[in-house]
Amino acid sequence: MVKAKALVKNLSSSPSGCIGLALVLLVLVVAVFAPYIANHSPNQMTLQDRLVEPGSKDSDGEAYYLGTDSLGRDVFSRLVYGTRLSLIVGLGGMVISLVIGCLIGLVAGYTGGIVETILMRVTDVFLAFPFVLMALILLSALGGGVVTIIIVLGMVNWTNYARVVRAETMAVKQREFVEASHAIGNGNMFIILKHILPNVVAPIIVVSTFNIATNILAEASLSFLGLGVDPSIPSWGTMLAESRENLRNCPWCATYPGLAIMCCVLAINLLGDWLRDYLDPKLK
Amino acid sequence: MIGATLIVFLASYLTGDPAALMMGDTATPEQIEEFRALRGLDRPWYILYAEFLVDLVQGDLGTSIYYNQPNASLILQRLPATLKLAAAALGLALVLAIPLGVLAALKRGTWIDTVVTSLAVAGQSMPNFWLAIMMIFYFGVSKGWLPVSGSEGLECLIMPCITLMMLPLAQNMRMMRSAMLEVLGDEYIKLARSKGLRDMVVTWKHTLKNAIRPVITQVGLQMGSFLGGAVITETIFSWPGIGRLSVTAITMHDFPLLQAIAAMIALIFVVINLSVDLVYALLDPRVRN
Repeated sequence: MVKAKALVKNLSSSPSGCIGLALVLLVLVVAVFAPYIANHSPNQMTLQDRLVEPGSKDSDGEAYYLGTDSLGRDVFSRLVYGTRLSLIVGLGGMVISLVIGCLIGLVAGYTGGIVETILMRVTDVFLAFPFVLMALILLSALGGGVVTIIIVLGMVNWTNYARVVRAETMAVKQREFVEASHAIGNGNMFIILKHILPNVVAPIIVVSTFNIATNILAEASLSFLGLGVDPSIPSWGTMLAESRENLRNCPWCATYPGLAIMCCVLAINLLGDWLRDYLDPKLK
Repeated sequence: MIGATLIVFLASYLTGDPAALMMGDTATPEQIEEFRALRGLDRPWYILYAEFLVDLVQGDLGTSIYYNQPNASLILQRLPATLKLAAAALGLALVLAIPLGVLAALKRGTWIDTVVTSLAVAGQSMPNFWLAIMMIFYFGVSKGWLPVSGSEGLECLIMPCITLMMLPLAQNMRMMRSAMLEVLGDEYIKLARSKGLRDMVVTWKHTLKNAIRPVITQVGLQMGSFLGGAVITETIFSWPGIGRLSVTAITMHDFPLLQAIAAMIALIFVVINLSVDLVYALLDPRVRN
């Protein structure tokens, strides 16, 4: 209760944190209630309404708030449904990265020695190899699709977790309560799960926030390059890629998806910045 | 280097039959078998990888299946364009990020700090391909001021350079600001001020020199990443560099070319890490000793 009060007090004193949280909540509401917010089906093609300007109406009097694309699909409805995909990919990729990165970081930091050297060299290799290029290689071999893209992003984006968790684990394992746990005969697995993991949660939360934002940007980039999700699924990156063909005739087709990506990522980054300052000032 | 090449090598094997992937959907089983025998792909993967490493040590990066040319010459043809773009983008990003980061730290809590920090957060959140499309629309298509593709001449460099520099500009600005704030609180800075040194000397000679090291590390990583493939920027602007070559290799399932690119990326990473260490030694006498 006291912690919750302190959290709210800290958040209320941070305007950027408040903006970030408000925007994140807005994105969540849009994703959950997409069918109620969108006024057209995201894949419904009305060929007589191709490249209609924002604010126009269809034959039934329903507004195209953000216009239509070259296939007569409502840009607003596709943006609203695209929120779902971005969040699913962002969160799904984050969970996989978290599991891989934390496992490697905990084992490396706790065991030390040759195991640590090997694991951290593997981490360095993944860190050195361009992230988008690695994702592209795996996606081209495995094929596109939502599940594949989540797995691929999870598999290539775990290095930050490994590095942060390893550093924290090395610090925590020196503390007296860990030594005491050793002294009373507790096993390594018990110590890692019961004593070390709870003490490295704060930086993990911070890294996770930024990881979601990175995944959203990465999904949009990969979809933009044509190696992301199936084109029938509304995706902000695919919308941007399709808009390139008709930039002169419908600049709104490119403007709004880009703004949506930027606002979503900005919201998560602002929230992440505040969380970092609140939970772990050392990472600032 | 072994790690990076091994990842690409394993990716090509763990994700299916590389011979079938390279030949495409239209190839018959007989054609795939013939190709497999011709390229020696019927042998175990570790033998092939060992052969690749031996060839690599001898300077032989293999032959591209798609281009039917030596991989080394394909990479060397495209490396200058990538180097030009990466150097311009990172150079410009640093020229802007260092003074802005220093200014934000010195004016902490003021409107200048708020503006610089907000710009950095916005820059980190902006998808660079969207920025590229918007610039193409406005400066290329609408106004006709700048060419939307190509690599000849300075005007072709402007839009790709701005697109590529946005993220490192934002990251380096934030890193510079926080590193400056950390050093500004150190005892020797207080001592320098108490000795009566001018603010300019304290800032640029004593503080910046010690605060710039994390930025150099970050720039090293960014340089490696750019040289390895500014994939999206090069694709959007049809820039004839390594990034576009990588995309072609990936879409055409040209695994020998991809392995050669991975080896080059690893080599670049090693060279850049070494250069970063040398710069450290130049800046900090403790490292030299």
